[in-house]
Amino acid sequence: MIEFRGVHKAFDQPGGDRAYALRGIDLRIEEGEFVTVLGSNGSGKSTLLNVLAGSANPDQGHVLIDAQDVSRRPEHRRALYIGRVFQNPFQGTSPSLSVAENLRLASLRGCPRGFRTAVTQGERARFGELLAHFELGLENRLDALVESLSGGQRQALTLLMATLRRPKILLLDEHTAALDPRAADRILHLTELVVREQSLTVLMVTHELADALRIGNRTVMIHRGRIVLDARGDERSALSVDALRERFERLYREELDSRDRVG
Amino acid sequence: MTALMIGAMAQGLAYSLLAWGALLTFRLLRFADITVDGSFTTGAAVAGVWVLSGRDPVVAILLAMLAGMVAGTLTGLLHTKLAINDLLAGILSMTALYSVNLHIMGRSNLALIGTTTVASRLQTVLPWLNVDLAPLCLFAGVALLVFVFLAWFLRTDLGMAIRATGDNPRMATANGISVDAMKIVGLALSNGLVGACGGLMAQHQGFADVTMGIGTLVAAVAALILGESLFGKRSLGWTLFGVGLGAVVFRLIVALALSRGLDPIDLKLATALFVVLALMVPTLKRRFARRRPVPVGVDA
Ligand SMILES: Nc1ncnc2c1ncn2[C@@H]1O[C@H](COP(=O)(O)OP(=O)(O)O)[C@@H](O)[C@H]1O
Ligand SMILES: [Mg+2]
Repeated sequence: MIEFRGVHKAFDQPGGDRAYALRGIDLRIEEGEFVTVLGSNGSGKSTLLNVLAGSANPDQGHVLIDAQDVSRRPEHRRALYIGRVFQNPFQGTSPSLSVAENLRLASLRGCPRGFRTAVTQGERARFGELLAHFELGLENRLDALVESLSGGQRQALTLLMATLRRPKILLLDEHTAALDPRAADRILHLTELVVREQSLTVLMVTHELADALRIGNRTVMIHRGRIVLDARGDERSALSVDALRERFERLYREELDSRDRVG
Repeated sequence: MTALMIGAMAQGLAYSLLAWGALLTFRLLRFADITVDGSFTTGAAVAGVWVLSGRDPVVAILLAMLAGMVAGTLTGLLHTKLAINDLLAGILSMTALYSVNLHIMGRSNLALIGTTTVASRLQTVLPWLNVDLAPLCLFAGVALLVFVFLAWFLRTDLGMAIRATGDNPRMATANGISVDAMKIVGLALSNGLVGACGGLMAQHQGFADVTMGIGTLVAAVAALILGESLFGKRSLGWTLFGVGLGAVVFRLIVALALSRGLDPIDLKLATALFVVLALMVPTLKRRFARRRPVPVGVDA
């Protein structure tokens, strides 16, 4: 179980302004929940994921994983619990390491690393099977450097790496946004596959309203650092893409109005 | 082969330790570590003082390595714990080491002529080795040892974590690797090699001097760049081998240039120019590539 308790986070902007990225987030994610996260640019979605992973520390409030307060734990010491796929396909893998080496590295996520010679024969066989399961055509290219892979292949490899050792939560931050439509579909399909097979708990940021409603079992909308919609069960089933779009536009209009009043 | 070339090859084999040190920091960790300009001398000073007191020359090299590792760790701590950027952290260590080195030596240079060295020790074991061949065999042995060690180490889980740290720190962190710890380990290892090389060179040349480390990083990077161009990016093993060989080629070129009349005063200038030219190649390539029309419909 994952919990955000009264989380606030602000950043100093280059111009000297402060960006209030999260303004009092309370969110409890149960085991096995697949939460899709919506919100316009700059609404705080990535910061929400970063605060949980430890790439950013909350100014106020706490983040809990299985009832343990991890708010002050450095990022690399939370990695045991967290699998991540970033938006940029270049961010999830080590380009000058081979496919097998990347997988080996990920298979030790959050574990101490010693002097064992990294990739064993047995492991190569296992990695080959996993890659074949993903149908990337990489099962015979274990020794290829990752820098020779396409963006879609890298993103699929990152997904495989993030789930190689079952995480307590899988964080996906617009992980299909930088891919061409076909590769994006493929990654989304693989995401659903691996989440189902391992019954993972997921927090997935997406810009596609239809995906947000179709995939997963709970949808959260963030606006200016606050949760403005949290739908699951029947309430969520009743939501339509049009209703969501309507909601986005209303929030946008309200924001313009409030700015006019101030100005 | 002339004694000059044999000497250059011996030096080159010893310098392969510097080139591998640069590979670890400059290439794998993407950390331009100028500490080596100080830690090379530290290794020479430690080894020099040790043999002057009549103690074991092999232990002297191990101590030189240890001293280098301490220096590297210091730079690593400055960089990671105090968030000082890589260049400045190295400059601070290098500057501090200048005083430390003077303290170790007690004066600005040590004459080591007539002391027992690892090479002279080798000669007592293998009497058929002459004065020229003993260092050559010794340095070849040391280089082989370090090559085998690095080829093994960089493929262990720890070694891979270091490579991933330089390659993609964000991904390394997400996989539970402490980027800070890996940088410290890499810097310690690199400066350990440099310190050992300093110790070997002090014994080989018969002196240690407080200024002898100046230009170490640039020379090491020159050897690194030369070595990388020898075999391309075939595999880690080939890269390691190429970089070691690069140091030998570099010393041979230097010896040739000096014998053809290059003024020793200009040696560092020429080395720096070589590195500048080598670093310009990618920039020039890019500039040249941009002039060409961009192909349509090709996805990056
Ligand atoms: N590292 C950072 N430094 C400065 N400002 C940041 C940083 N990260 C996020 N922000 C700011 O916080 C706000 C929320 O950003 P983010 O969480 O990335 O939004 P989203 O992912 O929803 O587009 C934005 O105003 C953004 O500019
Ligand atoms: Mg974002």
